[in-house]
Formats: sequence, structure tokens, C-alpha cells
Amino acid sequence: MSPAESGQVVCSHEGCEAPAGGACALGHASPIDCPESTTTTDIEQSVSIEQEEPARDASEGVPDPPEPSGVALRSGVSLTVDKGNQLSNSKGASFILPVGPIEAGKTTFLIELYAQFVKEIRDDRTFAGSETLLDFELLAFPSRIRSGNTIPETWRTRLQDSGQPLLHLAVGQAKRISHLLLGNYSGELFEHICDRGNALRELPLLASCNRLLVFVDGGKVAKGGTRTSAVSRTRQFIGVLSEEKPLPAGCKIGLVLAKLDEVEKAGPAAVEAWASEESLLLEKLGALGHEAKPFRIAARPLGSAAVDQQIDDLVGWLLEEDRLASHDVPIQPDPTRAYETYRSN
Amino acid sequence: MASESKTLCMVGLPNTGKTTFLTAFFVATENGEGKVKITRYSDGDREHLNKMMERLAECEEVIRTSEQEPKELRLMVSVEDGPEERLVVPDMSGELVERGMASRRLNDEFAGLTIESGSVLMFLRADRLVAADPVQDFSALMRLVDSEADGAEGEAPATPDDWEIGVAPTQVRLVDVVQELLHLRNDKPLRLGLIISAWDQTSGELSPRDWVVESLPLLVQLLDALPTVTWTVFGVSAQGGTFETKKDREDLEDVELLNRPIVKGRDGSASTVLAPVCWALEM
Repeated sequence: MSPAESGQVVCSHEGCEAPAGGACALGHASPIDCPESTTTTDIEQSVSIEQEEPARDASEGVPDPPEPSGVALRSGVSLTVDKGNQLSNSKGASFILPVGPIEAGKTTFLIELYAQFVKEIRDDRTFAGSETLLDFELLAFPSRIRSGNTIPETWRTRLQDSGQPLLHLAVGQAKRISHLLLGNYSGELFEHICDRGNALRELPLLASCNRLLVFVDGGKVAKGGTRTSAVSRTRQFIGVLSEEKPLPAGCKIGLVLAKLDEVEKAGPAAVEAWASEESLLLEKLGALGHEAKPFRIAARPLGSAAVDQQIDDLVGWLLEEDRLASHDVPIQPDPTRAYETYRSN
Repeated sequence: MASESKTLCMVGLPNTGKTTFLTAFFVATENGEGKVKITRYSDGDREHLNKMMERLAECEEVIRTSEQEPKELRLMVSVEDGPEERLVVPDMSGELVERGMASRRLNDEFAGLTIESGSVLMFLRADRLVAADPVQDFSALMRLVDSEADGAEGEAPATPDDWEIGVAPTQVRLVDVVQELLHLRNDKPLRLGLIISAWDQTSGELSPRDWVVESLPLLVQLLDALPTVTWTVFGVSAQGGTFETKKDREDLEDVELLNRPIVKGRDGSASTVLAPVCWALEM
């Protein structure tokens, strides 16, 4: 490139004659090779880029994307709290809130609740629709053969960060359709409550639930080393419930030991140890003034009728008719508001 | 002058036998078989149907309807020598449904049709079901390993963001369609005939009702639970068999086109290719 092509030479070296067409003061054959020189074209380009960059970032002048064509369908994905309230107001719904540590089996239970209807037609209850069908399917996918069963556990927790925490399932039973809104929350929130209290700040929907399911990880109960901490966490959570009283009147509490198969596999001593802890925890739950009931489930059935029966009992309990009317206790979208409501009461 | 116009909506994922069924229905009415007869030929355009009829006669599969060129059956008919009626059955591409459910936006024309028509025939193929087999079911796993294709589309997704409705079990996709159709119709009453295409590919041991109970339990529960839906099911082989091998084709070529369709009613009793349309439209 010659100086003529690249524009007029400008040099920062004092006394250099190259800009005037003379020799480079530092001895370069061509002034444009000198690190102290530049050309007006370079400067113009530099200025030009600086001017253009903001224009690229700005939305001015960029045409809006075309409006999507066609008639909008419902998304089929998890519901926001507002959407849950709308559904509850129009159809009436029970709000069920599973809580427990990370990987205690909460999401697996929600999937089983849906998957029982995908598998077969039951005599006692039937699938009557879901506004969150696609997210149920997304959650169920890792347990399907087609997935290849190589999908990490994080698959199931993705929805918990979406700001849309509610799954919906309509269940027909005795010529009546019950709408269930199922909270799908991360176990981290439970652990925060165990650590620091402030239950309604962490989980505002505690103030609205008709059924609270407190999950205990059977995998940890099965081992002596982790049993104490698993039970301790649950005890701390119950302690917070006892002191802060976030639950609405009439809410029933299920104490759910998940992964029962792992406890049974560990032997009779583990089963007996849990029976003892379960009894003590139920006593504490009963003292809250809410009806409490124990369940032991294995969401990955061993082919044991007894195990399936436990899940059936739990689902039947969720569908009992003595739920609160949904409009009595709206699901609270705003944690602060929920907390203030609780404080003012 | 026609006393009434009846419109029937056909719904199904791609390649589920809608066009073949419609062609077989046209053949039956044109030949005056059964209680539905064509009363006038000066109304409508039968070019597409005639072409499809010729392909079926030659044991060639019908050409699937494209999204760009939706076809329709439009006939002036009378039922059991009753008054003349206009029968309209648009033949919309299955891709419209497939893409609409994936994008959650349904083609305007198709949506309008589903809202206006109180009668729907929903198609699925007996031999292309994506099952909902759980990982624990090892016999199902073995069946999957043995089969060349399970009917699902594309590769299994590796992350949640890759997941889309196309990998879901067939019954879930149909439940999704039914739920959204009813929602679009504001839960107005609907007559829904479920058509199990390629019925000749099933073992034949089950009636269509028992087959859907076993293969599509989620869909059956939904349809039974909804008070606004009246539904039934037919097993249909509109071709009368497969065209896969030369022997298959030679066997069928000897059978009169009119007599090829195999249709079973809900309880497994023999029926005709007219029956699903007559049931859906209460003709």
C-alpha cells in the first residue's frame, strides 16, 4: 500500500519530514511502515467505525420482526402464579406444594403423578387434561426409553428457575374433575428455610397451599451417616413452620419418605430407624395444628404392589374433597405482600 | 339447490392416511355404494380426487397434500335419497398441525375450520406410534432395539432446550391437539371420530376401542372425561393393505378398488369407508 492509496501521512515524531513528502526520521523506506506514522484514511476509518458502532447497537431504524401469523394456542408450559390464580378462579383448584431438600424426589413424584395416566387407564381416577402438558412431558422425557436414559438430573430442575413454578393436572374421580396446581420449586429454597427461617420470604406460596408435602430423601435415610442430617433438616423446617405459622388453616401436611426402596434395601435396621424418626416428626407436625399423615413411596417401582399402593394412597389423599375453596386463599404472587399478609394476621 | 352444507374437519400429523381415506370415501360415494350418493357433478373440482383414485387403483401411494396447495373434497350428495346436501371436507396438510403445535400458532384457515366445524376426524397410524415406554420396561426396550424406526422424529434431545413436542409419545401429541381444538372452540360440543389408519398392520386381535385403550390410554381418558366431546373410533385400512412389495401390489391389483378398504367399527364389527364421515356428520 502506498501513502497515496492510504491517504496523507501523519507522523507524531518531532521533526519528521515524511508528512511533507520527505524521508522518515527513523529511517523507514516507506513512512507507512514507521510505527509513529499513520494516514488520514486510517483515521477516517477509525472515526467511521466509532460512529457506526452505536448505530448497530441502537434499535432505531431496525425493522420490527414480522408479527407471527396464525391463531395463538396455549403454550402448554408451566404457569406463572398469576396464571395459576386465573385458572383457580375460573375452575377452582387445589394447590399442592412439595418441599424438601435437593434431589429428595419431589419432581419425580410430580412426574409419577402424571405418568400413571400415560401408562394405563385406571379404575379409580382418570386424566382429564393439563394446561402444562408439554412441561410434564419435558420432565418425563428422561425416564423414557427413547431418551437413552443418559440425561442428567439437571434436566428436571431447569423449569424451577423459569419463574413459572406451577404445573397443572385435571383429574377425574367419581364423576368430578379436580384441578391440581402443583408447585415445582428447587430444594434450595427448603434448605434456605432450614438455615435461616423466613419461610414466607423463601416460599410465599406456603401461605396458600391446601396440601404441603414434606419430602425426606430415603437415599440419605438409608445410610446411618446421612440419616441424622436428613432428619435434622426436616426437624428444622418443622421448627420454622411452628414459629412462623405460614400455613393457612385447613392445610394438611404429608410427611413423605421418598426412595423407600433404598431404605428397604439397606435392611430392617434402616426401616426401624426411620419408623422411629417418622413418629417423632409426625408428633411435631401434629403440634402445628394441621392434620399430618405419613407416606412412604418409591417412584421407581420395584414391582411391589405394596409400594404402588403407597403412591396410590398419597394421590388419593391429595384428591380428597375437603380441600379449601381456592378463592379463599389466593396464591400470592408477591413475596413481600404474602409476608405482610402473614404478619398482619 | 342444496338445503345444507356440511363441513368435516380432518386432523392428523403428516402421513397418517387422511388423503387416502378421503380418496376411498370419494370412490365409494361416486360408485353409489352405501347410503351416500353423489347427486350432481357440475359442482366442485374433482381433478385431485380423480388423480388420487387412479394412483390407488395402480397401487401407488397417494401424493401427500402440500401446505401450499391444500385440497378438498366438495360433493353434492344425498343420504338415503334424502335432500341434496353439500359435503365439504378440506384436506389440509398434516404439516400444518405438526408445525402449529410446535410453534403454538395454528394456521388461520385451519383454525377457522376447526372452530366452525363441529365434526372432526382425527387420524393416526397404527404402525407409527411413538410409545411412552418407561425405562424400567425392558421388554419394551427390546422391542425398540429390534424395530428399525419407532416413528419419532429426529434425534433424541440431549438438553431441555432441545426438547420439542415432536419427540413426545403419539398419544400425548394427540391430547395436545384435542385440548387446543376444544380451547379454540370455547369448549363447544364436538363430535370426534378417531381413525386408526393402517389397521391391517395391527394384529387384528383387538377391537379398535380395545386397541386405543391399550395404546393411547391418556387420550382415551381425556375424551371420556370431557362432557363436551362425543367420540368413537374406527380402524381403517383405506388402501386395503400395503404397497411395499411387488407381491403386495400384485395381490391388491386383483381386488376391485371399491372393495379394498377394510373398516372396523368401535367394537370390531365390519363397517364401510362411509361410516366415519356419516357418524361424524350425523348423516
